[in-house]
Amino acid sequence: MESVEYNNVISEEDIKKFPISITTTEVNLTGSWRFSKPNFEEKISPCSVGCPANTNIPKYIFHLLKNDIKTAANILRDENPFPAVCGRVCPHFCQEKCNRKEYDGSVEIREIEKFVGDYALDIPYEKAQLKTNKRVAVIGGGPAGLSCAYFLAKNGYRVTIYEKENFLGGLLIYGIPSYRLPREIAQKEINNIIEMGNIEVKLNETVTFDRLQELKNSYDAVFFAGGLSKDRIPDNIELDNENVFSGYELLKKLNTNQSFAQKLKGEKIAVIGGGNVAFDVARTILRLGNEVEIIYRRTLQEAPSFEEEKAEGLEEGLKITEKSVVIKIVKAKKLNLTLGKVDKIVNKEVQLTGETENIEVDRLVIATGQAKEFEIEKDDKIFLGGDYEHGAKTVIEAIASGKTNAYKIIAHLENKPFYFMNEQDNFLRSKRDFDSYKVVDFKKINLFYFDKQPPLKTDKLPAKERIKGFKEVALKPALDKILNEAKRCFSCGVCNECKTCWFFCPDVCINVKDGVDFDYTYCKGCGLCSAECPRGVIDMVEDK
Amino acid sequence: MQKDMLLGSEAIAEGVKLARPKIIPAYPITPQTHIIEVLSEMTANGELDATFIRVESELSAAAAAMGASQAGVRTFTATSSHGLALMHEVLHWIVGARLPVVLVNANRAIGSPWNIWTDQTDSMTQRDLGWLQVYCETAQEALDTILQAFYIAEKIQLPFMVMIDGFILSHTLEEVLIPSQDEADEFLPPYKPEYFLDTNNPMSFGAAAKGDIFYLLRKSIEETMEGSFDYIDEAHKRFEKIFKRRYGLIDTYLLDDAEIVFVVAGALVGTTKVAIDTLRKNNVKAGLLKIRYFRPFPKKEIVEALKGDKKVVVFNKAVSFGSSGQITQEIKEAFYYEDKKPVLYDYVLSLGGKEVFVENIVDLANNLDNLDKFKILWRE
Repeated sequence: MESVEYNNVISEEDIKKFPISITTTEVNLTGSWRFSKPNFEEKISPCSVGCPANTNIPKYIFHLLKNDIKTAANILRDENPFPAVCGRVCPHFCQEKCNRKEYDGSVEIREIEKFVGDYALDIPYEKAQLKTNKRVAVIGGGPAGLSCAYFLAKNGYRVTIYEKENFLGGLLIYGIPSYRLPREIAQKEINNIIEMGNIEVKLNETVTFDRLQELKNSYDAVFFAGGLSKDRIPDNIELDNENVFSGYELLKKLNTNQSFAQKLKGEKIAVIGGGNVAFDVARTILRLGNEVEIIYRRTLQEAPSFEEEKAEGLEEGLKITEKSVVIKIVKAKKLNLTLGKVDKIVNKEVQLTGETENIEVDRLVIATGQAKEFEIEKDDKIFLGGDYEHGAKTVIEAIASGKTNAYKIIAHLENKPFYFMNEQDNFLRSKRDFDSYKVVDFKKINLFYFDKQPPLKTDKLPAKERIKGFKEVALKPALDKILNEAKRCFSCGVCNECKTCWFFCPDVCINVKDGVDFDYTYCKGCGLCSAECPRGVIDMVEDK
Repeated sequence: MQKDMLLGSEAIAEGVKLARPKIIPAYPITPQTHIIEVLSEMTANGELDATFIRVESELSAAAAAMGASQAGVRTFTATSSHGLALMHEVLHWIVGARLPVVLVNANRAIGSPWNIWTDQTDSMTQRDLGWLQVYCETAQEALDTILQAFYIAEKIQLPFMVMIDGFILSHTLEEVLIPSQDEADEFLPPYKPEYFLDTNNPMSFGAAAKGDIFYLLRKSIEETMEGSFDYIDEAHKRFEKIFKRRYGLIDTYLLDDAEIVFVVAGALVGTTKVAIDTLRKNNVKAGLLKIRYFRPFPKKEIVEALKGDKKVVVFNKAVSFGSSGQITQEIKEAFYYEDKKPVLYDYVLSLGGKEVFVENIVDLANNLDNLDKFKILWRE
């Protein structure tokens, strides 16, 4: 093979001694040596898959670290209009999937989300434009309904929310106590959605089964997210809303009636149940100066409440009686409860040991779950979502359900396939080939670039302080700690312009700006960029 | 000037310090390690304003030295034995790129089997690279040679290898005169290369060259080697003027009237001198020729020194298997066109640190006539 002619090198006299030339090596088109080439392809991080709303977590963290918190907030809110709420009450399924979990502990995404979410509270959304005459009714102003309304309004639909209470927010406002989720935080996020435009709110509007049929006729589509509004009460107990309450009823009453809270002070109250509601109720009345005992039919370990709730409750002085059910209530001056010890539970049937115990309490709260008020079938106009559709789940799952249904409604009304949306709406779903999309696993991460560093530990208000009132339990970490934690993110599959590829390229043919560009005229296909990339966004592919 | 008792390694480190290198990439290996230990301390405590690069192997040390020197700064490294062998590929490149790197090699055997003691196999097998090679007799000479090495290397743009015998020189205390920094600076000006890596003056170095250009570049290296004697001579005169110590390409001891001449390189010179004194007392006219410069090989000086009716015993501490000792080869080659040639004995005196005592050399001289001059001679 004839090598490239060196026409422009300095004269022979000059190069007799030193092997140098004053021209560049551009004459040598090394790209012709290549048989494989690097290909820039961003992939999906496992945290984004873990998140029910598919938030692009590495991307917003990247912008946060670039000091562009506004873009970070927008990326976050593109997928989820409740980042400040989720930064507090979401169990963070994302962290379960985090690749860093195998290394030195998952990134504390929750704290980062809370920080960015709080920042976004004061940033209003761009005003939504009206793009169609089609109208959608959303039944239920909880997280699922609000999320659905948000994504519909953003896409140019006119939405009417029907809420049976005289405020929006559902559980966010009256269900989750303010020491976990301060009211004003939830309220601000709700206001931001409504102020975006295209959304009409009808409060104190209870939608019955019959009313639903009427709405179906006057709207192009109906999203029903009425939640589980009926209390599920054990057969041997009757609610009187004086001494025996359902969990939600009590929370709602405490929220709306100050003198009732005063009246309760100093009492002994038992709470039946082991879910988040049971713990929320118990911890709330504990803060009002009461003695509280949780009675649960299984062990504490088996209780479905978040582990954090259980641990914090115990720190605060909750008494928990495990493996017990109330088998008899005698109403006298106080309530005399007879507790039966549970032997085992087979197919939801409780089998008792025969052992019993009597306790005396002032009041009893039942938090053993909720059920549907009435049955609705979905059809070509009615879409179901939230807890009503999937049963009692988390806030983020309700938000994700509202979002998915918003896109289902849009797809249905515009006669398009489901995976049609533009990038702003959902970065995951916007990819045409959704199912084959690659997820970056731990093996693809180049650990050389990451020193081990344990995750951020969030400080909490001491238990003694907590039970004096309703101050938020989790304290806000300092900014530098948040940023340090953000720096722990591997940014799996998402280019964060670290320029490692640029640094290693021996042919100086990489340009990093909004992704990675290769100059294939000179790229020899050595693969250094791909091998060194800390986060797996450069693949070597055959080049024929 | 200051007088001190120093190990050979420490004397070299002092010499390097006086030369003010900017980059020292090095990897430890016995018996060289003391040199870079001292240098790393000097850089750490600020005594020497240089960057000490800890590398993961000698190959990297050589590569880093190459890069540093290409960037236009004075560069030093030190190694030994297997380390020098591992550097081999880059040692070639440094020559081709015309980089005046100075390297100290503490001579040590190469395995198998493992052996940390001294012989000259490691550096003799690197003789064809295009590096200048000097073998030192004393710690003082080693220190002085460092300064000369930088001076000459930078004048002619070729790298310079300074040899000391492992342990015998590196680990032995000796009285050494340490020049002051002012004197050293007077002798050795700052390094200002003509061409170096510079973003303000972009140039490509060592890119592909076709045969005709490559051939010219190699020819130029040989021409430089041949012309280097003038620069070496100038360096020695300049050195003597400032430091009052005289050096040459070779050195001699009681040579003029000698009938038996020992040719020696390295620290064995001292032992041989004592043996010569003993032989002279017994009326045996013995003398010595010390090979200081092995590359470039000073043929003219050697032929001049060994002319006349002499028996010449060449002490090799390395062997080119299937041929002869390398120093013997070179001397034979130097005499090829001379009408009168000395009788030459090709002796492999020591390998892997096999001890050489004064009486060994005395006995050898007394039995010279029984030796076979047609083959490599080995000790009992």
